[in-house]
Amino acid sequence: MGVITTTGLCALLAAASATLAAAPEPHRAAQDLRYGESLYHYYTGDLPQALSVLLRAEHDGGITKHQHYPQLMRAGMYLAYGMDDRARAEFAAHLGHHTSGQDHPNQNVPQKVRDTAHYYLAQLDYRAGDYAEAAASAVIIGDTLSDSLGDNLALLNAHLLIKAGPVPSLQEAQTTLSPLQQNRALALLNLGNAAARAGDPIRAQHYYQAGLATDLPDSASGLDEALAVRDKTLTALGYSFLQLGDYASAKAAFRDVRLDSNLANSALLGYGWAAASYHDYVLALKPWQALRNRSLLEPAVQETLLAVPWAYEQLKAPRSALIAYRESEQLLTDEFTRIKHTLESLDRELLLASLRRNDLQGALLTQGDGRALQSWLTLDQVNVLASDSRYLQELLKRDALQDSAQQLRDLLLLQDKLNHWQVKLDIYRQLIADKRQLRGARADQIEQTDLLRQHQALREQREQLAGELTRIAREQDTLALADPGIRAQARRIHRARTHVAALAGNAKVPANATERLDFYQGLIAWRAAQDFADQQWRANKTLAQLDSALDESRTRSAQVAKILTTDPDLDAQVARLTALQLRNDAQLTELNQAVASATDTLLNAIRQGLVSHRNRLQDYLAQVHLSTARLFDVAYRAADNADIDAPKLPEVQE
Amino acid sequence: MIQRYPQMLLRGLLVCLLALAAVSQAQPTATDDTEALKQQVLELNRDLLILEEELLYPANSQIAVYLSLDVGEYFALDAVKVKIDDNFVASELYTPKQVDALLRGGIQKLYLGNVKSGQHEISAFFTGLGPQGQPYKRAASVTVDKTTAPLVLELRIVDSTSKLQPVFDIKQWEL
Repeated sequence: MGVITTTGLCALLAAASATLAAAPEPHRAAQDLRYGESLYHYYTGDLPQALSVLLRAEHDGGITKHQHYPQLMRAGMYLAYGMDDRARAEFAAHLGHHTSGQDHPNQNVPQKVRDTAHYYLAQLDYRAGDYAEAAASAVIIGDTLSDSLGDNLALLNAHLLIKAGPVPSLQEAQTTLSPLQQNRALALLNLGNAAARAGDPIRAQHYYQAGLATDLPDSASGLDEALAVRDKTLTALGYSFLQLGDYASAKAAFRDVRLDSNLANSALLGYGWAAASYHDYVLALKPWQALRNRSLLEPAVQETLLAVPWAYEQLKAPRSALIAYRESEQLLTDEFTRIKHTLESLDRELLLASLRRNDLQGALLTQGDGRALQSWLTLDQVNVLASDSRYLQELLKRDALQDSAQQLRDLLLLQDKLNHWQVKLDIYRQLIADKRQLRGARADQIEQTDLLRQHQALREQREQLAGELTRIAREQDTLALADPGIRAQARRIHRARTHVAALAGNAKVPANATERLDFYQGLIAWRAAQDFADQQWRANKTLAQLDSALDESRTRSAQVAKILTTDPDLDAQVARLTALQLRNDAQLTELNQAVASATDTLLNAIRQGLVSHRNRLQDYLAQVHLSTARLFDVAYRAADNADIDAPKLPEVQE
Repeated sequence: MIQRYPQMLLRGLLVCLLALAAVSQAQPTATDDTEALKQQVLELNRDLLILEEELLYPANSQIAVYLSLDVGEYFALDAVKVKIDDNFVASELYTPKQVDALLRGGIQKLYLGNVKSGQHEISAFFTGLGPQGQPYKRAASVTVDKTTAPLVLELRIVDSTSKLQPVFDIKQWEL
């Protein structure tokens, strides 16, 4: 047995986070957007989408620009998504190990990647209970791991030390403990617990004390986890002191546990016992009374059903004790009613609604600072949902049910995805049909306007232009390509020559008119010749562009004509859509069966848990009845001055 | 008086030890069937995503806009708006969780859509808190030429230590 983390529920996610932490910072030089996109989905909690993005990238040829990190990241995500076998196969592939049993060690894989893969394989072996294999993997890991992963490896080694047994002394364990950083307190707690279970409270205390001497992290990120470990260590230390009869030290240890921590219940119970141990029952009653208002699903709270009246008895206040026993009886009766009601109403629908609601609340709560929950829109929805089966929600948070509940949540999320696709695929089918219809309408329009043959006419015009350019080049007709101003001047000179010829002999016509016109003609011809080469180049360039445009037009016309006659893209899309729709339907059927099966399994586990809980409480009820009867018996035996009328204790005076 | 305390203490210790033991319970692994099913659904989801993109956003008209963030000191992101030519096409108000994902290297696909071939002006407007914790608004824009290949743009927000303020730019990815 074995994953030992502060919060076992987050073990998988934490493991994968560490994998991702081992990757470089891609945003500083993102070489592939899909790598970053997958990370974004992962960190926003959408694991299926993160994996789908990576799978898509692999389908498109893989992410080649981030070395081995995308593959490592994917394996880490599989691990976080509860797909251990797949994760194992991916990590093993980095090392050249194959499921076929044939190993081809890949020496091109960097040592850091190999070490990371070995580390996760060791973790997986440990979780599977194969400690020898885990130790074998752990021992060959080099020193290239990132700080966080190296710390996790040191923690794994500490756990392997526990499994190897017997639990060594703190001094003997120093070699294993010395590389530990952030996980040091957790390793010490687990070693202490192992020693306590082995019946050596003194050795356990050494570990606990060493754990408490560990500094808390400076950063806020690991502080919650460190404080949780500290609470557990203090609680364990307190009970260890109780076991050894050192009640003052036990009380001091319990007093330091935070009241809002998960272990506050056990600490409150222990604090009361520590106080009761040196007969300060009034002090003992304070935490026990506070505990009585909490959920009876907690063993520590169940214990107060007897501890509170017992303390009153020790205070020689049988009346208060009797009242407390009756309160306990009432609490038990109420709990039996809740259990009965839950057992009666518990069915698939209620359970699935409860799991989905949990996701909804989780989603709302994780959206920033939870402001969404204060919105009147969402508040109404959440409160209504939360009011009807809060007891069931509480049950689902129990350790024994967490894994099954998470598996079912994963399946429900996938079921939702496929259900959405089913609706979308119908819409896409309609979209393709609309597209086909629209294309038909456009085809008619094209036919009517003769659009596809217009490029032929344009081609003919182009040929005329090309011929004209050839003539200009051959004849060196510089004026033909001159700018409009020069051509206008040439026309004016031509008109002037005509007029001079018509007025020949007229005295008013200057004698040198012809010479002057010749001069102007020459000047214009010279200017046109200056620009001729440039204008000819431009004209040829424009002609080349026209050729290119006409070629494209011809190609597109041919494509359009082909599409209009055969619809190849739409047919291919319809075929793919149909195939995927069939796959989606088949997968959804399988998924529905899996959800039904997982739901039944979880339902049975909850029912069994409730029945066990009820049986346990019935023992408490029997003891309450016996104690009540004993008190009455004592009262009846006292003939004249029954204890029932004894003065009330200061704490319970109204 | 009936001294039941030792008996209760024993019970309490048992409760405590059970609680501690529960800490070290192994998480059962997923069944092979569930794993295989998950893998099949993930692969189906991938294929459906590919089909959806090809149907709705064909390459010759596709435009994708991503957002990346490499700041911490000079800019705290609140919102982004994206405009193509004269139309706002995407806007996002960021939760702390989304910002955290971006700061940890995530890149968000902010917009996926279609544009015609030719020139387009892409503008992005960023809102948040600037270097002194003051409200800070900036814009970046780029003119791009849409061809038959998909157009992929990355809006980048980066801390500039030389200017002591954030820098906003738009990078066009060559695919």
